[in-house]
Amino acid sequence: MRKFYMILIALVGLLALGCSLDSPQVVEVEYHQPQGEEIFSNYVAIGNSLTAGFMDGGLVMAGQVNSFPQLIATSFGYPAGSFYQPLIGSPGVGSSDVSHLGEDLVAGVLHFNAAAGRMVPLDVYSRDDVPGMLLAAAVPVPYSNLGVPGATTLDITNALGAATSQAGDNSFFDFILRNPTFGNVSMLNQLIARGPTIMTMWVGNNDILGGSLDGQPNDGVVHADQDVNITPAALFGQMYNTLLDGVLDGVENRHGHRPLIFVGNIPSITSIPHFMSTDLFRQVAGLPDEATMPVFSVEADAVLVLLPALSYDGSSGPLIPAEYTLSQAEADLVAATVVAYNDIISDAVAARPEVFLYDANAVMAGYAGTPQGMHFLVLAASLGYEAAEATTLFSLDGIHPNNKGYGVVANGFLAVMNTELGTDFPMVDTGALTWDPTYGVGYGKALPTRPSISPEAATAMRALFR
Amino acid sequence: MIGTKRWITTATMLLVAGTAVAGGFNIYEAGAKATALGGAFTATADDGSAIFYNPAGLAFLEGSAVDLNLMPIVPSAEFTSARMPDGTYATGKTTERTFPIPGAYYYKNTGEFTYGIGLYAPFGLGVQWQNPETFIGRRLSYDVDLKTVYVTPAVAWKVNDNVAVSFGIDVAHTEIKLHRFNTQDFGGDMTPLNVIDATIEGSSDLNFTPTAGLMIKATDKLTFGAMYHHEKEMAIGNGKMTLVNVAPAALAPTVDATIAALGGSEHSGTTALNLPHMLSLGAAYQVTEAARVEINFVHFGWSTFKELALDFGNPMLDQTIEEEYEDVWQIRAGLSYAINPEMTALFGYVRDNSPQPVESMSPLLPDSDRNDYSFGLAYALNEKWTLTGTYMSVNFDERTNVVDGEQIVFPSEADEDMWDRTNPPGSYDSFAHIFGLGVGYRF
Repeated sequence: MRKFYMILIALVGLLALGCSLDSPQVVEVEYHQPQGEEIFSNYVAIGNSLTAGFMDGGLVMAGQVNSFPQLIATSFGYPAGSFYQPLIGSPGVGSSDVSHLGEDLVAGVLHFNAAAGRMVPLDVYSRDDVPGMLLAAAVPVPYSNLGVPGATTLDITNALGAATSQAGDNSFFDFILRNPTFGNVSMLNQLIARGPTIMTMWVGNNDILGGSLDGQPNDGVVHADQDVNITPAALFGQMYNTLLDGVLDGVENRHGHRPLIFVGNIPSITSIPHFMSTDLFRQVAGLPDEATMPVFSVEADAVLVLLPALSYDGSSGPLIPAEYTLSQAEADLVAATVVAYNDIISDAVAARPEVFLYDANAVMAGYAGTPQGMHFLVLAASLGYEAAEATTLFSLDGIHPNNKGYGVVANGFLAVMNTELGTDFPMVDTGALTWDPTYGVGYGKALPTRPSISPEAATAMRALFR
Repeated sequence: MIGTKRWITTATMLLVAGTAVAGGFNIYEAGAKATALGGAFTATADDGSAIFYNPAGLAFLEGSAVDLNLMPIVPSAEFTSARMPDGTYATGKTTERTFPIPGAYYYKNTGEFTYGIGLYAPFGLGVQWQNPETFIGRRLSYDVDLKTVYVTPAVAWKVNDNVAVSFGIDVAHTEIKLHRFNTQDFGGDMTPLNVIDATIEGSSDLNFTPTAGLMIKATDKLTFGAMYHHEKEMAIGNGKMTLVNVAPAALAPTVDATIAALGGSEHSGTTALNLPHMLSLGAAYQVTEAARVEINFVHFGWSTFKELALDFGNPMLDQTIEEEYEDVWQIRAGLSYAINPEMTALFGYVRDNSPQPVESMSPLLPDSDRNDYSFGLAYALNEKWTLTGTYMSVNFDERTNVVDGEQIVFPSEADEDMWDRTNPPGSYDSFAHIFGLGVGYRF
């Protein structure tokens, strides 16, 4: 009996010893870089208006369906509708300040109204109507195309909505980031949440463009008495490198792989049709030659005239204000900043094996001075409407590509991808991409001798990035 | 019928908070003595718990008896995730709770026939994770409570001195309650933000299926037994899902709108819970006058548990949780040794194979194969009263759903990012203490 109890006590002891709960062993999962077709399985784009498919001074479905990220996704073989974009119904949302027409109004995209012989907003409507035009507001995940018109490099990591954008009131952040629905996080964090395997990132343009469109670009030296409106190159470089690392490390820390990033550099800003040489402006605006009328602008040494200046009748009206022209020093500042940014981008690409460069600057330089690089209004004077719309790569705002132009951008990115990754994704047939600057109204009337821009359109264009 | 159901609910459900301690979510512990013998009781079945283990055994018992058993189960489980992309690990631990499992029986031998009725809880599940707001598996379940009670009236017919058969009806009722969080993917952060606290609950209609038993005393020393409980489909027609907005203030209006778009915060639905058949084949051998050994082979028809389909008539809320369980055999062995006429020592061992495929191992039910060791003492106070004390340790094998660096998942989840799945990759270790106290009164 005693023996039995001894055995029982021993049993209890053994059980007590052997019966504790251990923390389970840690198991390792393998994280691997996507290979082969897997690389192209999750494409996400970040950037600004150029990524968003902004066209004719606004964001509207007619342009968005041909945004370069959508064209790339189509080339990858994504089924229609599977590349989520913040599609906006007609007449679109322009980044427009039209408050002089009334309170809480929004301008749609610009169109060319042949009857009036000038560019005007397609429509001006109540701000309250905007939510009803957001066709993809219910997409349950962050958009695949996260490009936000007006976004600066700082905005990519900092802006959660209009109030926190660098401009202070850029409502496109509200439409596209859809916070607080997505947890009040930035474009960068929405990108990370999507876990891209491949992505495009085209940023930096607005860090120069905002000041350029002011007509008073300022790095703190050219206009020492005014606010700086161009991001200094050193600060841009710091933000750009931080952003790239934030994307690569962020996706890796969340999903276990590093995405391949195809970045675009900054095209020459002073070469786009929005900036006309003084000779071209005199010609288009119907001004007398330099001998007859030596000065037409407040900035007597103006070398470039901004497109909205066409809303002024320079031949008989007041001198064109300084915010519609760039002096030589201002043009040099803009050009030098583009070069400095592109050097930074090249160095950033070279330093990271996952990052590849689409040299947008070189590609667009190839079109500078050619009919394809000219504004519709300029071309129409010599070629006629139809040939002009079929030729130019730029939309009516003179800054953003039109559908055909976005096809060229997509092909630029696709060519780099095919070269770097050994793929053979088909190029976009740019000849098949059409653009209607009248937005369905048609021409029906001969081109006026002096094409112009309505004051509303001019205001809208000047407010593109504010 | 409503009255019956209410009786079961009030009298028993409060008591029976189940927890899975046998494969799947089976609880094979229906009596203190049988539990001490590792559940190897089909060819012995000599107390009231025979109504579960083999009602035919009742035929060889004399007189009448009431057997009351309470078996507190104290389970625990830990989870460690696979190394997350940021190099950290998520861990989880269940709360320490005690689930009192009942076994209450009455029988009366009238000679050729013995009648009996029993109440026990052969299926149940209780897995409540600590720190539910941050537990990595909270999107699947942070607290599940499944209770199933069987009430079985049975009759045993003593065919002759050596053979008895039995037949009964298993009347069953199930209640289930599941809590989970719906989250908003908080971009770039490994801890998604909780926005909706969802509770899914329901109870079944009463379900009736047959049970049968057979006992053959082949020789003076050798006895064979067989028991069968039919499989069940527990229809839950009164399911309810309640959605509570728990989002931070900035997100609350959006989440309110989401809940409104789903049709409100309360939804009615249906589901069905399939319970397996149980078939036990046993042999007992009286080695000496004092020592008796028994071995049981127990088959569970778990392949009936393919899925848990939650149907709320709303595609946004409907969900089918794949389970794909498989039939399994358990081996149960017991030894009883009469120390003296009053006191009997009991020992048991169980090799319990999990019916759960690794794909469905989850925070809802982290099952695995296990070895159970048990012992107990039965003490006869006098001719009428018997006391039994039991202890069983349930030792789960550690189990992971990560094999060769990849999480093993059903094909429907294969395309999802590993860390976006509701069922996280990682390892589980579980353990349970089972205590038992039985009081028998013969008259």
